[in-house]
Amino acid sequence: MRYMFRFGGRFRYGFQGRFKRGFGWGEGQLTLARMQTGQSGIVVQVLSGHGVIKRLGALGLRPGLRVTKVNSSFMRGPVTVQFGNTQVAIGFGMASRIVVEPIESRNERP
Amino acid sequence: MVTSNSSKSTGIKRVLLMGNPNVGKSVIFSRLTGTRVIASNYPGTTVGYSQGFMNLGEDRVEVIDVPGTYTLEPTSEAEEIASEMLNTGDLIINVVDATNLERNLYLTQQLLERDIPLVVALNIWDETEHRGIHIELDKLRERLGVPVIPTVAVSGQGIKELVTSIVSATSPDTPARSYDERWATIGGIISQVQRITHRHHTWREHLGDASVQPLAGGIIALVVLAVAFLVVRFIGENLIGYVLEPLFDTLWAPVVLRLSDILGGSGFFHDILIGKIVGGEVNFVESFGLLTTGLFVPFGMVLPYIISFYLVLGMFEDTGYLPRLAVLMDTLMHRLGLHGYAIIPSMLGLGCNVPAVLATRILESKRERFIAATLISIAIPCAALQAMIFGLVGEQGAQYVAIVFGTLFVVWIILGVIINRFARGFSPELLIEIPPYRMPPWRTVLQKLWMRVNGFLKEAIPIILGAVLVINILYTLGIFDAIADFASPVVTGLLGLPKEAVTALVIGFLRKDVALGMLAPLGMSANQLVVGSVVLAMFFPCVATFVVLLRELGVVNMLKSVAIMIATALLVGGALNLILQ
Repeated sequence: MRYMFRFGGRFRYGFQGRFKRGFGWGEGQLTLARMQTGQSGIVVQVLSGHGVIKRLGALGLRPGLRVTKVNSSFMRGPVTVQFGNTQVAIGFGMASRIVVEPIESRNERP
Repeated sequence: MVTSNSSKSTGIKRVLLMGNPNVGKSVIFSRLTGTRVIASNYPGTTVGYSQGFMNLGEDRVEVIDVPGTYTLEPTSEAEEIASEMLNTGDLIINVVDATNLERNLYLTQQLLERDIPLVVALNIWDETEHRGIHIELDKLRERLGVPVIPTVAVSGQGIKELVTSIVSATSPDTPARSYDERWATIGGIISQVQRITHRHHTWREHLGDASVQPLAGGIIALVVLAVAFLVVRFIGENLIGYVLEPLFDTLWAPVVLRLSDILGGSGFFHDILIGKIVGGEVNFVESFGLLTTGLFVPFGMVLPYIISFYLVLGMFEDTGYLPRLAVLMDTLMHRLGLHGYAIIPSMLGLGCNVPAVLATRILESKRERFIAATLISIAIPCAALQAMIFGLVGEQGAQYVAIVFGTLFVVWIILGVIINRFARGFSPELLIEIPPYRMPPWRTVLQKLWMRVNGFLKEAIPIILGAVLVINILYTLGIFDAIADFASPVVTGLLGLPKEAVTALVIGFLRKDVALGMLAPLGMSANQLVVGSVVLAMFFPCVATFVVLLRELGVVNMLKSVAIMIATALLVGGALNLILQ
């Protein structure tokens, strides 16, 4: 089903796999794109170029920040996260490159 | 107070208003200057800045509303403009969202490092309390070293104090720092001045969260858009049926008939001013004189829809719903080579294609701007054209209107997919802030409505009258017959339209609403009207849109865009003709 909708995005399919095989990240960590709706986590790192890191940073999204995922992304739609009183929508590909350390308690706002 | 300084000159000539998007900067601007200015809930409208004047003591000081920016390191066109303008001011009013202090302080830190006096307006102050945010103002002032004035721009609270504080503002000596050092400083400030207590979700937040969920949000979007459409039609139709048509029929028609008598009922001037009078009655749609159709099209048919569309759009913009729509549409728009944000210029296009093409500037890459601008000019009919489609095609039955809009929608998607496949370059990803739902302040909604309606009256009416005049003169000179003969193989053969429809297509370059009006007296069948409307909507931009396209895309890309338009229009028009026959 998912492969019927292949459009755009160089990193869509290969990226996560590459990092898992190659560098990997800490045990239990996952990307924003893979987080559950309502789940919270601390941003660990942004696996991306300088430009994207600065753009996210300007919106306040940077390592050490606690974020909560607001929506579920359907068919690789954007991921919406909340931190403080700010909500930001992030394209699926970009969200797949933001690594978070999940916090177990659900349905709670930072 | 300001008055105590009235004898002295402050030496300030230009004040810059700077801050993140969606912090109420434009509302503060209109409070300070009293000028009418567009203030919207989504970033992008203030690219191309607003300028006004305020009184400071005896001086008249220029105030500039700089486009909203998150950082002085430019990452988009709006931010480039913002950081360039920074060097031209004598003082900065940094507008900060009190409910988002931490994020907003990043720009404040960067501004503090510049050698320019600074005042902080802590806006949306009224919302901090029920959001459970407590800010200690004195400590914040101390840590920043500049005046900090709590304000509520929507109600005007704190604006006087803000003006007073300008006089005493200075620039604290802050050395330039790195990205990480700034965030470290902000972390220190926040832990000292801000305290957040627990509170429950408000219903607006629940609604806000639901409206970005794929399923619930999709249903909400359908309901919202359907209601918006019905409200636009309801207001538009009632304005026409109960206000404007009666006005024209009872007050204006007798005047026209009287004038017709005075002019002798026929002749060159009679035809140009009044057109054809059949059976002693004025047909405002078909007579085609300057004083009949020339006035009735803009005022009687188009203006009511302009008013109702922009009223609804203005409320949409100020509630904060549009960014949520962008999130929902992102998946679809990616197939068209755009991201969800492109839905905003596209919706503007339903009002007028000119501001819509201008608004494509909020998209980052050239490729996206080309796709968005081309799709808008082909498949998104402006309010004026829509009004005429409802008026003329709607007479034949609602299903024909549905065919016209359905065709345009399908063309929008298919053409987008095709261009996306062949256009070079890549389209970046969505990254936008989602502002909280707010009640639209009626003041700014009505101000915007007034500006937009005023803009329509000033720009469209001279062109409409000019178009009708040109049509009448060319008719009398017989030039249209020559063009019609020349183009008739395509128009009659391929599109199945009468030869006279050629003139309407030519006039479509001036005004599409007038052009559609020209199809009215030709006695065409419902299917021919459908083909005519679709082709007219798609095949060439009107002159105003053409100029903007040229400026935004450059000559080469504009020519490509126009070639796509003509090819698509002929293809789709021909296909539609075959199917409907």
